[in-house]
Amino acid sequence: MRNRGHRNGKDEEMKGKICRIGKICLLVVLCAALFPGAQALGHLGPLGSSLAVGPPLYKTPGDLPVSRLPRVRETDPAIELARISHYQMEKMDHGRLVVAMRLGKRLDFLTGATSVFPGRENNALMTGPDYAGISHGEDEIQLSAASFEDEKVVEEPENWNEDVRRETIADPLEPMNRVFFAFNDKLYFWVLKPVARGYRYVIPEPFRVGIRNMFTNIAMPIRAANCLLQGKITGLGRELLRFVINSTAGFLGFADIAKRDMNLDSQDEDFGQTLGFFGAGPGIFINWPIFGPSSIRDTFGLVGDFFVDPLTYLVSGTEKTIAVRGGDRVNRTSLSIGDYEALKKSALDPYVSVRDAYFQYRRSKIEK
Amino acid sequence: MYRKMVWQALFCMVLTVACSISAFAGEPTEVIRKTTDKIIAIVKDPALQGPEKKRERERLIRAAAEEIFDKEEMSMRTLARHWRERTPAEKKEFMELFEDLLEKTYIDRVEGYSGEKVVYEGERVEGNYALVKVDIMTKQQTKIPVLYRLKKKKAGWLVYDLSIEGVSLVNNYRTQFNSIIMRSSFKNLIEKLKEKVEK
Repeated sequence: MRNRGHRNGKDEEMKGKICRIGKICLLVVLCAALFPGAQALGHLGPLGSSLAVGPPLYKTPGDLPVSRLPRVRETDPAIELARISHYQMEKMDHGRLVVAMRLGKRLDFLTGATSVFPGRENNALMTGPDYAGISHGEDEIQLSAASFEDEKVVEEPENWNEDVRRETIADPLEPMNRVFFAFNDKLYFWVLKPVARGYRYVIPEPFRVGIRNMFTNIAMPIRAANCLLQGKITGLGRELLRFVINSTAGFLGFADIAKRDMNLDSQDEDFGQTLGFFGAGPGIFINWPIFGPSSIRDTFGLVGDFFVDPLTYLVSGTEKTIAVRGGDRVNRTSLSIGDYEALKKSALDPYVSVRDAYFQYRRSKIEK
Repeated sequence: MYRKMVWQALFCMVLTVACSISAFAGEPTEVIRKTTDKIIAIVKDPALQGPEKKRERERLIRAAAEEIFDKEEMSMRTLARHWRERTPAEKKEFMELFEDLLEKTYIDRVEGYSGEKVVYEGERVEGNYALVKVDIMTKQQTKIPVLYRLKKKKAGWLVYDLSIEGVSLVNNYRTQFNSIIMRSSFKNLIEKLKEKVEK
């Protein structure tokens, strides 16, 4: 009771804050929608907001008025670029630098267009697309520059979308993620794979493909809604047309007639991609037990899709849901036995390989 | 009559220009196509079927793949920053081990070939670099987009990276190798590579 007045004051303050945050969010979304370039920046994750300042590359520090230099934040959720003690700079052909950072004992590195300004400590201007994953560090950071000529990384033409190489995803939860990775690995080899193999033995492949098609068909609203949200009107039209054709002529989606006869491909869109489309970076990597590799953005995406998924409403009750979704999973697995094994076989560190593959895969999906 | 000659000359010119353009534009794709066809022919060859012919089959696939993969460029790109710090001997050792690993991975994938169709979607050339886009259609009607990256060397167009479903092989290995080197050492990476290749 005695805090009431105080609390009310706080509430007011909170409301004001929420309003302001709401306005900022709206602005950001608008900007993202208006600027195609903003989308590209979105992939930079939490760093994007503070460090990445767009495509222009400044060949010399003199090109940029000092007042416009963004100050590197003292602390940032994803990166601590504090206390830059010293750095070297070499002049580059491309006007680009590779920056290596020493964080405690670990040496991570940034690749990308980076200009470091001699004599201005604590000021580093990071531009460009090739940002590498950096983890927290408590010690001094050394920036050192090296030529891309030596790196053989950015020799490729810079204007090819496919060649923009942003390095990888931040993974501060790695110890936990690795535990769940080991868990999922066992889940696959001990449960999912044996079950899928038995199932594969009993059900002929055309039926399994048909069942997969049915599940895909029923999930149409997810793809359609996300096409709409991203303004991909042709995609939306295709999805609706596909649904009508396959649900009728294709026996509830069993046969993908729209694709076979009319060359109407399904549009692989989901809410995680929509968030990415509007500039949301992946945040950090999360490897969920059972669900597998994801990121903060894509976890929100999964939750969003769950609410649009007709299965959520068609199937009620926990047991039934698990049965139906588990069935879908087993059926899909039966069609892709060997993929995970091949990845594991070719990897030196399967966890890192999966994490990076997930990151690259999602990024390429969003770019489409 | 003159008019006719002018037209003929013009026609010839257009034809030569058109031919040279298409020959230039098609070069990287042809490199990929030739090797892909060669490898599919090896896998399908009735004379090379069966487990007892595995070694011979692998040897042929290896030889065909070696022709178009640029192992030095790939090694440089996967080690990236760490490449410069290596001695020539270390570079050579790494290159050989990495090549073995790649070939092993590649052969495993190719051995699993079961009548997938390869559709050539197009290419882009810019200076010494080229992209060739290919779609692999599986029997289950799934489309797997593959992107080859090539660079023109003295020996012709050579592949230095390939992306499957947007996942670049070189980037994936670079992330792994970087993580291993950061955690332990380059020596440890070599040990791990040896272990993997010998398995």
